[in-house]
Amino acid sequence: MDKLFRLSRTEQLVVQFILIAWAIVVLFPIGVAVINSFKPNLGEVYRGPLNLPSEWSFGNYVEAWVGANFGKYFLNSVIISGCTVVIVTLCASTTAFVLVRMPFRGSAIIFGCFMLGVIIPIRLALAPLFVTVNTLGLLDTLTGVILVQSASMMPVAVFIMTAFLRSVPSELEDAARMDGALPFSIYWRVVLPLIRPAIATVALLTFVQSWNEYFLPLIFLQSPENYPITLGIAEFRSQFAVQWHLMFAGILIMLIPTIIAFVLASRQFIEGLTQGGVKE
Amino acid sequence: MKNFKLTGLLLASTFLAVAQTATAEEVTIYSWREQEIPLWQHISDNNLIDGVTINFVRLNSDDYDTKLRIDLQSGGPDIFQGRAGAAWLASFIDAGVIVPLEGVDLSNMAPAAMTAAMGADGQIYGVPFAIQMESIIYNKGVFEASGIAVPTNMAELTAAADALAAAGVTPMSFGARSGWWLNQVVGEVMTAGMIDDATSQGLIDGTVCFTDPAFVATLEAVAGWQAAGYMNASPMADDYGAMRTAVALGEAAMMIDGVWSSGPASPMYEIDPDLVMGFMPVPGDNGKVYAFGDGTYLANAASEKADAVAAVMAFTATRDFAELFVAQVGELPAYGAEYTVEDARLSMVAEMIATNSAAPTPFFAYALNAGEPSYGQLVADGYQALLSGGSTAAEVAATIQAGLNSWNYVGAANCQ
Amino acid sequence: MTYKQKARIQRLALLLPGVALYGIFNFMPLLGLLGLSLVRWPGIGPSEYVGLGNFMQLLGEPYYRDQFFNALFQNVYFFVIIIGAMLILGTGLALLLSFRTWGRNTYRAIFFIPYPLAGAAVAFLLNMMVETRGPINTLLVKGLGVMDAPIGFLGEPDLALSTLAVFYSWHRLSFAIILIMSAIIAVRVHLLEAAMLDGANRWQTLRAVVFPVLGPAFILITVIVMVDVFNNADYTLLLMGPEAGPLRNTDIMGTFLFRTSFGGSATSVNINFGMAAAIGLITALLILPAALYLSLKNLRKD
Repeated sequence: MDKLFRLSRTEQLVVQFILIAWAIVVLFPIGVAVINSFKPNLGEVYRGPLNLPSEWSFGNYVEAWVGANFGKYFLNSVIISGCTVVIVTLCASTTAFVLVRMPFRGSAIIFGCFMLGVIIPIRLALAPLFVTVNTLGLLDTLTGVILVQSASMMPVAVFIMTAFLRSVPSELEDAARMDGALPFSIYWRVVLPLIRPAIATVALLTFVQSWNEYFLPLIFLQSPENYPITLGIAEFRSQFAVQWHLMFAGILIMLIPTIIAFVLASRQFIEGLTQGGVKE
Repeated sequence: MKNFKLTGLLLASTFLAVAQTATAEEVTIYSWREQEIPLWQHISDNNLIDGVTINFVRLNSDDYDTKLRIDLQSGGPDIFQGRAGAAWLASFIDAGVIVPLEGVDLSNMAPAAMTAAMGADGQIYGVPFAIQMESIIYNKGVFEASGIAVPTNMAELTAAADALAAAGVTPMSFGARSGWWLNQVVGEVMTAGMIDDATSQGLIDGTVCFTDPAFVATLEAVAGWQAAGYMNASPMADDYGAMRTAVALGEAAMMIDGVWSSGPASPMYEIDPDLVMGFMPVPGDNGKVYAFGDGTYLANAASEKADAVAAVMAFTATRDFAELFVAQVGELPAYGAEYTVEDARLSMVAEMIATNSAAPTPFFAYALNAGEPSYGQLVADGYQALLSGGSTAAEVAATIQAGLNSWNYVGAANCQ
Repeated sequence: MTYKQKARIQRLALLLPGVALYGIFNFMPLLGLLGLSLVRWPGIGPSEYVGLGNFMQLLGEPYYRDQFFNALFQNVYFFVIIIGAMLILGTGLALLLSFRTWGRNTYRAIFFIPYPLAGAAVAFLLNMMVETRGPINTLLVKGLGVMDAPIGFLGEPDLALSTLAVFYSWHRLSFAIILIMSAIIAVRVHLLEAAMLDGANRWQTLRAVVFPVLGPAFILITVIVMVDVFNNADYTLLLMGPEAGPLRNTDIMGTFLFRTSFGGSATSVNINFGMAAAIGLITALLILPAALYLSLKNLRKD
């Protein structure tokens, strides 16, 4: 396929031009955030958001880390996001596998129920959800937050997985079934490697959303020991203003794991596509 | 014999120790005001309320209402801060979460602050905190540079604005994108400055209509400023933060704002550390500034630590607390009787509030906000319509009146 | 046990975790939404059963009805701009990134950066860009001298909503790029080789082989973005407040819901979670046909 997609010199230049243009559009505001994260106080941010800082205050990052209790909260964020990703990718892929490859009488209805969850965000049903979590005694626990976040991302994950699975031919699985393999091993040995790109996509999207999730932890957690870093950053929002220089520092720190996740996911992505069942 | 004495002593001291730790209760307070964190830290660390430690939980202002209500369903805080006004208190009263305050001596609290704690039935449900003042805030440096004295009437204000405009400074900075600022600050400061107290009270009681020339005049004044070029070029594009930044940078001279912008934590000082701000009422016929109680400390009726809670509530109505409030928070407490204010700025503000603040507060009046669309909503929309050139002052006033009439507010019969 | 029995049990075991998790912590509360929409409840204390009262108020009283339809139409406009940008720009960039472009991995990573940023950060960052004293206006007025006065991107009634749509697109374009790229790269090699053997050039190959495969990706993006845009209004609420100025020109379903259910100003009495549920259900009903249609299209395509 790459043979088809090789570019001539002129084409390459044109393409570079377009890509650089968009890269500038993307990086310019980010650059502003970076510059402002090094400013010593809020006044400089307001006075000249585009100006370089009078002194490069690396201390902002330290202060953001300490002030927002990153040290404590980082671990919580990692646990919550990590568990959510694992749960969602596992459950969504098994569910999609059953719904697409092993349909039964009620599977269309189940799929419809998931679609309903895509359309209606869980935020509206906060009150009933709170009652459920409270009754199960999961309030103010990391487990509770993990379960709630996972459940909130299941619909879209199932949606993506089923879409992907439908576009993948089932020959390999049929062959395995003919050999007498049971669903578990078909899933584990045949399907999972096949759908690596979808898993990578779902994992990445789930991770980013979970990492940045603010509202659900806010409602379901009460003790500061359990806070993820999104709640820690909220410290920088005062009643009428935001401590931008610290906020940007905090946000940029938070950005790093997501970029790492992206790089990892991309690699899985490409690898999964160049092996697996694409070549026939 | 000796053994008995020793054991007796030991027992007694153990009892005492146990008793001490047993009475050291932790009271959880919910708030959206980060400026109170040092205050309660100080109170807790120094054991100023005997046997009580404070766990002060500060939530983001935007999330405060939702989080508070959700948490109250599973116990919740022992004490929480409530926003001012009977309208806000109503749902909590109906739910039985708060009950009329008992056992606290409120005789020393400033009368202006008491409305913040009053329910629709006229009873007091908590201890008010913080008196805020809203008025015109001006950059003293800019005034001095253009040789302008504080205007004492509207004509002088216009003259001052002309002089400022000539000097290349925006006379009046408006951040009309922020709806909350339009109704809670601008609307109220204009009424306080231009409409006399009796008429304002009439607006609340329904005896005076919003189509009355007195009220329309407040809108016309603002429209006039825009027409005369005294405002920033696009008030609708600038928000509250941009408005303050302009004044702090000296690009604008005046803005209608609250005293919190001159407090120690205000970002305006970070923009210009030498900034000195002055306060003046809108120099209309009434010429008064606007003061209100910012909120109330409310006790959760379902709290298990009733004694500790009562102790805290009683403490917030004392003079010691008032002085601590000034020192630690940098704002004026709701305490009305004598207390020491060492900060020059705050004592001047206290003076203004005591001698020259308007009594009626339409924005917080339950009578005007009991239905939808509320007075607050209508004023915000009205000013935005006015400043984007969509409506004239008379039309805006008529819309406000019609909106209030639609849910039969107290003056509906009178003002068709 | 026979193979069939074992297979059945394993199928159940594979299905159960996902369904149970979703059922308990998402689906059941959503059903609770139905009940919630029939009451008037301020979040604490007793709830008052009003039957269809919330819906009647919403669609019956002109004050609400006018705002509702205004918000709805503006939301559609908002959505069209966003989805247009994401699909067109997204496909273009995805294609360029799937060629043997120099540095495509770096570009991919760069383009991804806005996506994981929190909505609040993006809102204020981009607000800084379009302010009257911000870089764009400074460039237009002082740098290039093209305009006399700064443009109030968020202040002009006609521009505000489009500006917010641009903000959203800037933030979320990477999502579209990722999904479209995955579809492009998943195109079956043998189909491409067959097309090439037939003598088709690049553009023809793309049209015949790659574009049809983008269908599912497009549908995915459209549904997810549609749901997000019609339910959430993070940027608008942060930047323009619940009154969605100027003159309700940035009012979309998310702000309408917030204002109607939680009050536009601090003194609003009518906090009503039931109203929020009612509006949420109506919104879901409105986008359900489109979502169903799109996903059924997805179903049949195989």
